[in-house]
Amino acid sequence: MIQQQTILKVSDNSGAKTVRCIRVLGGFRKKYAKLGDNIIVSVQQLRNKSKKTSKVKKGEVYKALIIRTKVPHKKKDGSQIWFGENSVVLVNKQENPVSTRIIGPLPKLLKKKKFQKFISMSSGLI
Amino acid sequence: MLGIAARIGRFAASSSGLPRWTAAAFSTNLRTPEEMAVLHHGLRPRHRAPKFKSPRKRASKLLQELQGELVKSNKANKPDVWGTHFRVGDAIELVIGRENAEKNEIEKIRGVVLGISRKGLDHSVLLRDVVFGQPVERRILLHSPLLQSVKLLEENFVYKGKRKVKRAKLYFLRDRNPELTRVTKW
Repeated sequence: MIQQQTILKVSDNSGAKTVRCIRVLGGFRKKYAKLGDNIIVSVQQLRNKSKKTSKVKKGEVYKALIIRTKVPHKKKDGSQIWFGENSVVLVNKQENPVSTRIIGPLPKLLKKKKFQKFISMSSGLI
Repeated sequence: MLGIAARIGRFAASSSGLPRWTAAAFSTNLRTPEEMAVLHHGLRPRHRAPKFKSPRKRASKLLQELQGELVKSNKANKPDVWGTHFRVGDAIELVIGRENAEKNEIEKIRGVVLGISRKGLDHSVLLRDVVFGQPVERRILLHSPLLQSVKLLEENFVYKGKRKVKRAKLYFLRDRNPELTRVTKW
């Protein structure tokens, strides 16, 4: 349940460390975003090591794809899965990834054709 | 030495002038069906109409019985799942996939059992693991038709097999070192 003002971690090598959600996309007055949704974020912190070499700057506005949430994702057979953090991957206006690598696994929910690029960048699917 | 109640019961049971229900009321052992009949329905068995139950209660009772039948048939037909015995604190591996699935569609899930919820058809297991450096928790229903088998990897994984776990739910492991609950090797 990601909403405006939620601070999320970034798990890719774009250079950003944390971002803040400023808009939930996908409908008129849509309040909450869940796994697999797109949101608009603004960069809050950069990773220490990449302040000179990062692709993003503090305060820039990007789109992001939510890849891990603490809220359980419920599947059709009744099982649930949830992670230890709320995490996103930065994405540009055409919904293509900004970075070249994703840290950590992706949920099997994203095993669709349009997320093929993300799956190939990550360590694996859970 | 018999107590007062037992002595009255013994006297009433013998051919005294007291009515039959006194013997049943003061009997000290478990009441026999004949004694119960005498206590509740009087001296003769009475014909009783079936008790009126509201339709909602009747429906929920029927649903309960149907679910119980499903549970019994699942346990008989799936020895791979219900034959393995595991407790809270063990490391287990589940194989999930439909019956004629190809090799890349079958999923193997490993994890430490943090808790078991026994609710009939919703019998579920809470598993925790650390995969690709990320802690993951899953709740899986054991009556799912997609579940093929359950395998016990290590008993008392949380304490490395040295001592038993003393809790029904191990939620305290969420605040501890994630290495304690890591079953999958990356």
